[in-house]
Amino acid sequence: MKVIYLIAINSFRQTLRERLFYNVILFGVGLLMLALVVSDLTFGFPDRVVRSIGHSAIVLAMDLMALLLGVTAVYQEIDRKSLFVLLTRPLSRAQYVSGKFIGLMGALALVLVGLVVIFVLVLTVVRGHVTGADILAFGAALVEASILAGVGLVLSAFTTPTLGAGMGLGAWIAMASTDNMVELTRDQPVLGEVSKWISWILPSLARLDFREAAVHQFSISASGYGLALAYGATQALLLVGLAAFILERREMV
Amino acid sequence: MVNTVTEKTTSVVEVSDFRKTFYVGLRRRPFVAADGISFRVERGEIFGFLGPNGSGKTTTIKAVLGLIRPDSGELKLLGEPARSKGWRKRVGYLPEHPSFYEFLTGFELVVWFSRLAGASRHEAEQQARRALDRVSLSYAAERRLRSYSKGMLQRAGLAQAIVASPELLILDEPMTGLDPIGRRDVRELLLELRDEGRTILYSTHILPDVEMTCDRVAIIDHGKVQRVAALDEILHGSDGRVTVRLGVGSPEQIQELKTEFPKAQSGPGWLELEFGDGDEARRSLPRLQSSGAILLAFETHREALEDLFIRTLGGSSGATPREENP
Repeated sequence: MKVIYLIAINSFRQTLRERLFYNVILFGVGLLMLALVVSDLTFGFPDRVVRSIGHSAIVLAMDLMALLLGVTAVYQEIDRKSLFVLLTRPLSRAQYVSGKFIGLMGALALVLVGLVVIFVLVLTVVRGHVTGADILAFGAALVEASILAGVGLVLSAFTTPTLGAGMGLGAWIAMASTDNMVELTRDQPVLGEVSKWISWILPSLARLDFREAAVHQFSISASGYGLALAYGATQALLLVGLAAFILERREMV
Repeated sequence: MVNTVTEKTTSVVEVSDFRKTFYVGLRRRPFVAADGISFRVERGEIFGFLGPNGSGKTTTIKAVLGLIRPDSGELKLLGEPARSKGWRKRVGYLPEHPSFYEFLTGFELVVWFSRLAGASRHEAEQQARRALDRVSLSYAAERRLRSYSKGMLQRAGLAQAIVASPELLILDEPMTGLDPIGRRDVRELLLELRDEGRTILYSTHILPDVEMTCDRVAIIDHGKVQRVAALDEILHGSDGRVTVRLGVGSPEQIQELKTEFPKAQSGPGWLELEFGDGDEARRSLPRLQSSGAILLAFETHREALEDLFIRTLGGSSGATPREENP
């Protein structure tokens, strides 16, 4: 556990020094400010407009950050050869990947807190207030980001950041739309079957989407929410396991 | 001159018939990086791994450390298989051209690696101070690595390699990027570590450093070990050749002798001749002396490491170009 903690702390500090990290935060903050402007231009329910755009902005920023930081995480260490030294220390490749993931998630959680604080301030400006559904939706957004971080780590274990980012964005779109795809192709024998298979292989991000409930103040059942989080966490852990498996087989050339 | 290691009891590194082929490019073109490499490093010695670029040194070191899988062959470190974790607290490693986390200070980096090797925070801090002191980097310990020069990064890399007091140090081109004073410091450090009983395997192509530090060397080229020898043997052994130096009175005499011995080297008042062996030299001496030349020196030729290196690699490493490792 100690080595995982040491890798995680280092990974956390490393992530906080990435320029990309701040670019995506700025992007998220920009979108939150946009929510404020748009709410001013619309009639009625300004808090709902801020909620809708704000939740989407936060999820988008978190997912982008998780994916893009994930795809560089392992590759960067192979490129600078620091991983070669690490792997001659008493730690396994699985411990290394776990530490990287935890550190990355720590940094993402910190960003989420920062973005939520800005969201709350923006909401206050339009005389809205944060509800329990908002908080639950943000919690689910962090779990969704953990899946994207897992996808990034898997890609980073075998390919370059550029290729990984392209493949990761493709996977992100597919993961975000698997449930819709299954629904839309239900009556088509071949496509329907293919969609079903894809939905079994890829994690479905729609199951972690509680934005509608937060915007429209629907109630969220504890069991449904718990199941969704458990589903997301399991998917993320499976991806971390897959990244470790791939890295275990990778030659450190 | 390096003291000869007397207590050679066990092999610390054992490489037996190591083979590795990489497949490069879209067409998966085979590149044989190691073609049956075998050697042993004995406890307490400094072992130099010499060879031109792309000869297979780094591939072998990585395989020894379990970073790449051999296609075949047996590789052991401190008696344990290369891929096992059993040796990892007892070995320090410095890769070629290391580049660590720029946001850490030198001190933080070395503490971190020490803690990864199992030390508590307090122990790690003490060990890190000692290690940085040994590589003459204490003055920059609190500076971030991003402000370090190439040579300073190399020293920081050395510090992380020695911080946990490993029994065995494996260093890939440790002198790269160092200025002459830095190289001297590292040479002295290697000798100190050897005197403390540690074993060192390092790869290089800087031959004077090898002459000053190594007990034994392996010369590797085209993925094969061309020769393994004790340095004493190389530097003190004679290859049979003899050099005769003569004092010659006039330029006419020099010219006359040079006609007879076209390969002779000459200068004002002297002439130098090289013979294949002592008998040949002795047979020629009466003729030389009869021409009025005075014998100044009669020396058996001692081969330098560079001579051996070039001769082993077949004239010059550049004569048989080889691709860099993938």
